[in-house]
Amino acid sequence: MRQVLLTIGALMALIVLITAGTTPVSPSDRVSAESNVAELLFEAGEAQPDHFLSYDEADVKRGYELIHNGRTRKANGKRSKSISKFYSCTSCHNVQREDPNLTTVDPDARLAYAMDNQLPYLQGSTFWGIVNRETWYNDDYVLKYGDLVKDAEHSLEESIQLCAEYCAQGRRLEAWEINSILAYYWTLQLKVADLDLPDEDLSRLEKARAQGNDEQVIAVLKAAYSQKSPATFSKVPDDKTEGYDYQGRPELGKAIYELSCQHCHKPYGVSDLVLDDAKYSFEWLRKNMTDHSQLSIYHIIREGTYSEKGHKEYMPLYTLEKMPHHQLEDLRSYIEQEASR
Amino acid sequence: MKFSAKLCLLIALTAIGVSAEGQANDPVKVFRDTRVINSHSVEMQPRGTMKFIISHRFGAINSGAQELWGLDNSRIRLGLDYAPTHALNIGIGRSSNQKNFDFFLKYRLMQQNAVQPLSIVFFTEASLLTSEGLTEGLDFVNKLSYTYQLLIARKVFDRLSIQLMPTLLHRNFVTDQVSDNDIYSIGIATRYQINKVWALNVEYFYTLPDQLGPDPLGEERRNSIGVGVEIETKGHIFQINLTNSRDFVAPFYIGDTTGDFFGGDIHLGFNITRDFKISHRKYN
Repeated sequence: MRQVLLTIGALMALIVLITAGTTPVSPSDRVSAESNVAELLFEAGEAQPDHFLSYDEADVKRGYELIHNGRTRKANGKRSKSISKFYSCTSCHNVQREDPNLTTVDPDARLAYAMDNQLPYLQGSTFWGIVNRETWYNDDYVLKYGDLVKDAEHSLEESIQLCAEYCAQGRRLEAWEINSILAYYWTLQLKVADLDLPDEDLSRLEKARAQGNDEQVIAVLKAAYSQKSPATFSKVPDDKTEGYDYQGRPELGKAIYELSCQHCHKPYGVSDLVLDDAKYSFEWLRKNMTDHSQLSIYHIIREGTYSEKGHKEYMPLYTLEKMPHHQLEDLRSYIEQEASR
Repeated sequence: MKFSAKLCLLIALTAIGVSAEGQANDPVKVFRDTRVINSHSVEMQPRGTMKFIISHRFGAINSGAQELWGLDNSRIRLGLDYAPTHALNIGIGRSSNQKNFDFFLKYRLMQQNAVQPLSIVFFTEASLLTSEGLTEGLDFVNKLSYTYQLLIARKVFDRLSIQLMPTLLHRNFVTDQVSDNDIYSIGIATRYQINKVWALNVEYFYTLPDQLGPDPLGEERRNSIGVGVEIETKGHIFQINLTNSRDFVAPFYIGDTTGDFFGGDIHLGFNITRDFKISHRKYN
């Protein structure tokens, strides 16, 4: 009898030891794939950002139209004034996921993803997940916009204003327009499924929620996506004849030409400069390759253009994160291949 | 006449027969500018943009050194085109010759793409003579002329575009006893892209015979012909032309051209354009 009691006691002690430190995960602590990342963070005590707002379907519709068409109808039914005469927001920004992995900046993976999904490959960061980011107009954008980015860097509202006024050469938005755009942006927020969390991280997240370990909840979630889009400006190569020290891959250059250049430069596109698939277009690009002007792909991609009197619209530069040197060489190799065909 | 008609038909059929280029339903830009030489092309201003056009035609090159080979004597047209929609362009212009005002409307019926082989645009224009001397005694209606054109074009391959322009010109009042009020003409225009910046344009209007008598000075009226180069600068097109017509609107260049191109009655001219974005564009 004593032996039986000892055995039972030992088993109970073993069970206690095994389960020590674990807390049962209740259904309310389970994380659905459709759960919004931001809401989980708020539940864990993360402060709601300034751009958080409550909204309705009408706000979202107006925001969608402002982003895609540049204008919408006000609540009173009147048509709003265009944000910009020159661009729509989607001239430079996608509204879909762009990166297969949200934790790293990998332009090659982003290009492959764009090719697979036939997405434009653009200078601007996607609006998808923009409300989950914590800073905008990061890093080297101060070199182009100076003090203008001071407010924009830490405010999504001010970033929208900066983009509308300066990047799009349009006007400052009214408060209801900002709210509508933010409402639309919130429909593009990250969900848990988007984070592609491994099972162990998902389990850690749920356990942390069950234990009320908010720090752990926030840490697990924020480790699964980048809170900013880094921006590094670069220079044209010292010797444009030689280019950057990479071997171009024309098959990828073709994708860049089609998904990037032609997004704006296709016939009847945003730009007056048409870059079609005609041989003479490639010959012209090749001829100007080493030119010390905006006509060279090195200058136009690395430096962009600036707004000037009589021609206010301009082309934004590509940061290294959006088009690294080796992709520029891919583009060059495609241009040279097509010019020689 | 029969030969010309057959030639036009052959070119049209050849153009249609060549396989289309471009991907999916991306529209094909057939010409670069809204004008070829004197005539309109199938291209339209994009919605929300306005184009200011300054056109010049100098005197005949064979007028000699005294006239600086025609440069002493120029005619000018100032015009404004506006695009309220992608498919509709309207415009107004004023020419120095006979103080003529013109008002036009262009409507796109079809846009060439991988599925549709042609770009087709309907063009109509009203012209109003306001020169006091020439229109003295004429009531308002008799100062008016109308032009109706179908612009049918195709980019045959990367470098070559062709446009046919069957035209009806109606003049409410003609200055001679011989000419018809209704003039039927067919125009053909081609554009050859030499390189990214330079292109060569040719335009010819064949007016069916026995419709036009000599002008008041007794000079034979001829078919309008022109050749020109087109230079694409930063977002703008600059055209330099040589033509036997001195005027810019159909009642004059179809109905009143007297210059003999191959006899040296060639007028140097140019079209300079400047685009203004007036309102928001909706991009394709």
